[in-house]
Amino acid sequence: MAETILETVRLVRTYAGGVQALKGVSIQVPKSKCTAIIGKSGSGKSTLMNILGCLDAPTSGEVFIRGVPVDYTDTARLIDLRRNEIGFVFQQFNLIPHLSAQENVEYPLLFSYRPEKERKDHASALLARVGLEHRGSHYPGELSGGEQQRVAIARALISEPAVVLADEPTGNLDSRTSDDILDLIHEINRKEGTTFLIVTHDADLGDRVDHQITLHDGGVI
Amino acid sequence: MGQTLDFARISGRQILRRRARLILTILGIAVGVAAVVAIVSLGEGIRAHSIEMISEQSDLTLIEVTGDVRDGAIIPLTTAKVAALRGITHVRGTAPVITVDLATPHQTYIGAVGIGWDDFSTVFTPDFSKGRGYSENSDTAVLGSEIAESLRKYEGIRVGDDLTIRIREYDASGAPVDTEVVFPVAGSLRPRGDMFDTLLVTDSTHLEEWREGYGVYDTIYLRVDAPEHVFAVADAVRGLGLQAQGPFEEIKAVNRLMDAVIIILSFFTGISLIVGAMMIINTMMVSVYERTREIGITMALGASQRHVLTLILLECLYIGILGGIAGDILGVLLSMGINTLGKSFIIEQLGPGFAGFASADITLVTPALLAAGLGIAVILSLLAGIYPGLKAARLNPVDAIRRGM
Repeated sequence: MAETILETVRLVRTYAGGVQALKGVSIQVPKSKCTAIIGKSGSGKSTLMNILGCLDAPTSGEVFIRGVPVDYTDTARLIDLRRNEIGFVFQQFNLIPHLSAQENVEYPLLFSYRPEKERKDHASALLARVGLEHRGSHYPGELSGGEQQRVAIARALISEPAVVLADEPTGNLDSRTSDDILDLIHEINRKEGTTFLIVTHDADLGDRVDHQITLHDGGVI
Repeated sequence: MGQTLDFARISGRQILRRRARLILTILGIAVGVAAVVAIVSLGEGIRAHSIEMISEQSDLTLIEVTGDVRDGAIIPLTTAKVAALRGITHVRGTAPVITVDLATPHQTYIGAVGIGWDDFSTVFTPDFSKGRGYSENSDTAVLGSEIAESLRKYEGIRVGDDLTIRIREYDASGAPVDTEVVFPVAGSLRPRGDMFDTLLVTDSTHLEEWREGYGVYDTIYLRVDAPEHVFAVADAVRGLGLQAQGPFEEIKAVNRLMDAVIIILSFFTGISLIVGAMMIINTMMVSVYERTREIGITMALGASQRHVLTLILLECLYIGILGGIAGDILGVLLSMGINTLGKSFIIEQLGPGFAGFASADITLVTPALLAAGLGIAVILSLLAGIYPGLKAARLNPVDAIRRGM
């Protein structure tokens, strides 16, 4: 059994108005594996993703990253975890439009006071890793959807996080480009041992991952 | 430092995304700055010309020191005070003076002042139309231009003649006792336009015999090395418990008046600065609203609230710097416009006494004024950015990413 890098214990999230999005979710994400959380719309997968990404706090329950419990009342610690332990890949790519591909990849390191040369070298290497070494000076508006998502993957990897959270990473792409992106994720996962947690409503994607968790109505099936 | 530059670069690019909006916002603050610069330059111009006129017409470096009354006691002008005044920095010369009223046997009344010749020369630089100065410890005297003319006309006394003065004193029984004293007239002064035109000037030792309060002076005149040091010297004199007066006080009055005028006018023009600041708040609020998702993403990628606030405030800093520079340029142009188009009207309103303004610029733009214009624009812009910046920094990243445009 692989080492667990991310774990939740009886996670509950109740929104104002009494809607319970998560009803005691306990999951384990193995290190260096590709795990998928599969669920339909309203199953609670986005809520789970936000809590794991330290963007939202659970009503009760616990989250462990590298075995250390996350204190959701410690804002500075949450920012630190977002900066160093979590990488985000969004469905809509969410690149900063006025920054070039290279600058977008460097962007997270700006907040952790890394020297410029280190940032640039690291970002260039990652752009090459996702096959976009020749597109570094291009702006998001000049890139295709697939290219933008590759830049977003490179950005998620730049701080060498414990886990990359990918929220419907192929949701805005055609099937061929989606396959390319999933191939890229798999390749990085296999070759570099990066842990990926992919949230999707696409049950077919479950066949392409090492481990899958199905959410339904706020609970794990 | 490196990070600050990176932030500055990112914020710079951010504001350049909406150039038309940026230009309008900059113009908003620039118009306010320009109005303040133009109004203050007009006030400063009038102030500078007024001071120049006073300087031309008055002896600005002369201070008249008299005794003051403190807590009911008169502080006399003693030799010790003279020494103390001489020790004040920037005092080039002191002239302790005693004054006596005299009369000739023909009842021509003469105001006489006693001053040591060296002091008189240093402080008042006498210029003779005839003859020469008097010597120390002698009874020779010089006459001011007007009194010399009167004595020549009514008593036939000229330079080189003896001027007889009748001193009336009273004996123990109250009966008058007249004594006659002779002052050989050594010279007569050219017209000076000051009190010496009507006075007889001689060495003080000679006059002291006929006045009360021996050893105490009536007035001490100070000559300061330069007009810009007069106020400091006057303050030092007052520090000795003495009164300091002189033409320099007119400058003080002009400064007080112009300060009041400039403050009042700046207050009204400052309203346009407030409008400019509100435009910045509005622009930044719209900008934050448009970039809600981007701000959420930035926070998800590890930016703290402080980072977000810094990015927004840096944008405001750029707006302030650009608005300040544009405002200064517009202000200088406005000031030139006032010079070209409004000068005749303003001179007409000020009256004939200000006709001298016609040959010079009526406005005065100084580097300090331009720096103040830039500073005001930057400070206002940063203040205007605080609310939108805090609004952005306090966004919930989940909501921002979900709801953002």
